[in-house]
Amino acid sequence: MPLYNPSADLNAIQSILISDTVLLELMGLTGQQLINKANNYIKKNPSTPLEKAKNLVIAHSIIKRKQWTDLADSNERLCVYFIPARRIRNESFFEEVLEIDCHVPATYDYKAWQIQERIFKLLHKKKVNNRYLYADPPLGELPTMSGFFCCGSRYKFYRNI
Amino acid sequence: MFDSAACIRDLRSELILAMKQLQQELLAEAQQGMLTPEGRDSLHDDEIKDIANVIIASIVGGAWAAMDEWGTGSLMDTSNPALDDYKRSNMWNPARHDNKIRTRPNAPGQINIFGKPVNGKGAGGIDLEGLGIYEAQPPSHAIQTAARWMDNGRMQSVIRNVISTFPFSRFIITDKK
Repeated sequence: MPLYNPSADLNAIQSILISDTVLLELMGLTGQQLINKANNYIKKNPSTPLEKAKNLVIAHSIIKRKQWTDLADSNERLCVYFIPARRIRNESFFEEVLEIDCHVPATYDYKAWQIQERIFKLLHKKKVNNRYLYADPPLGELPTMSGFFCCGSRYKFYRNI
Repeated sequence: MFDSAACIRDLRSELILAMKQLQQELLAEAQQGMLTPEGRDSLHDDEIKDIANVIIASIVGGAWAAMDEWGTGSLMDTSNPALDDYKRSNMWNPARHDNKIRTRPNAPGQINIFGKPVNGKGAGGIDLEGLGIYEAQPPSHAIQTAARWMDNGRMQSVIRNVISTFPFSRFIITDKK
């Protein structure tokens, strides 16, 4: 297995988040809410089957990059991305830091923290892609689009090279 | 005996190296948070300064970085502490009575945000955002956010690491008499 595999790390984390029904429920990505969002997607992209539209809505809500300037309507979004890795004293390793930002409409700011709490339960001290993740102290509110609220969390691990 | 002068000198060197590392981390994070490539390119690291035993590491940016950090047009963050000074300067478009991006008037003595002479046509003030010619940009707050993360334990952790691994014992002078 290659040691330097950040894409596999991101995929593994995205899979964990997407497969957690509690998290999806907090993000309004289950039941009727998901069907409504899928129907809106179908209106913009006709001929998309409902099941595929549901999966696409979820995939567009939990993305593997930092992108928030296109947020619109009442969409919640999780951005999972790496920040620049850090040198440590042992040159065989470096510290990787993964950030997860949660953007929600400002009126649902409490939801963003509930989502972060759930992510903490899913990732902190858990083995993901053969490495243990550890949470960093959260920072509080982060920049986002006007009318939205964002809070982020960071998880670090050591990668040997 | 303890060679305190050498110890202080070497510890200061180690701390300067640590500050350089933190500066590079801050720069990389701030650049990553920028929303525009121009803003990203405009940011760079400054020289480490040691003034009266205070080690200063900073990152600096030009007008592009400032616009990225605080936003532009109707979406700009008006809490920018330098905004009032900017509005009072001859860089601010005199026909811009609100924050929307508008055309400049035909009036002498105007300079743009980059300090270059600029002039417009007629009375100016045409809403370029409304016409779809220019888009307002939300503030990235990339530098502030990177600095906040740095302040949130990272800086202490790096400094603590330097102190805890510094070989203080190397400066103990033993006497063989």
